[in-house]
Amino acid sequence: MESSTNSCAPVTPLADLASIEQAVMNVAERSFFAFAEAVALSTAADLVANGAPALTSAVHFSGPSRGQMRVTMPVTLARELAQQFSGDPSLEFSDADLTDMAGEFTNMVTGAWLTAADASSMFDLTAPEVTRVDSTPAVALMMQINGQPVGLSWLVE
Amino acid sequence: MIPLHILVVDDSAMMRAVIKRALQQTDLDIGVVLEASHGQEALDILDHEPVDAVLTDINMPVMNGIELLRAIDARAPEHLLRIVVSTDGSSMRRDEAVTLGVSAYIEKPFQPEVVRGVFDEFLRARDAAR
Repeated sequence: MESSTNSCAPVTPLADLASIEQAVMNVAERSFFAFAEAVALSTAADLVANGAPALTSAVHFSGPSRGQMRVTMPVTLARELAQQFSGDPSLEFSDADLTDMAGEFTNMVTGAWLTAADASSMFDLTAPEVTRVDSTPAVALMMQINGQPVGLSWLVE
Repeated sequence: MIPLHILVVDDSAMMRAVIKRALQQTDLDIGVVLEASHGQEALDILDHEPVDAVLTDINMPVMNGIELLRAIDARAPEHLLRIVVSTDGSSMRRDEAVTLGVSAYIEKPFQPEVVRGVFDEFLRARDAAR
């Protein structure tokens, strides 16, 4: 579907840190039965601690405003979320499954954030672009889900 | 009771699996659960398979959920239950979905009980209409 406008007027609530925190908490609780909380930005190094890889996924959105949401999490958290999401902790997940999981998490966070910030407007979201990273990414918000780090950054034009 | 054949349309395989699992937790007599990763795949399935209910995401590659619902609506299959499962919870999108024959709108993230509630309501309405 085409967006209704080409303008990029910022929607103020989109820049609200608390609304992003709340979106992550809601997604974690409702779909993953997990507990999320904001933590200090200095914990960003934990995303790729001990050389373990992380998955970073970006979802672009367009509508009355446009921009992107980027979420980075260790592969270990993606696996834990997949187990929680599937409801079966005994399942094994492939790399493709974990990539899918990280992207879907970002998709849900972006949707929850946009809906809470501007429920009267329609936004089109792109499919998540997921890549592996092995160095600490730039983040604007650090959170923990079940004690594991999650980094978020976003851009609103 | 006649088993329901259900088509789940979402570009996330994990999400499709979770929706299927939620369906299995309902009291529905479920026949076949088919899967498609975008709207065009879903239309191809609908061309060849008997389907009683479609649960579709909105944001998908190739053909999105709104385009799929428009194509379904053009075929006017009155018997086909249409349900949206999407991260997009905006009132405008919900209103648009209603005009395309959507009976229920499930917002992600959701808990499995929500899917169950939607289908229980559908079964009650179907039984009452008999």
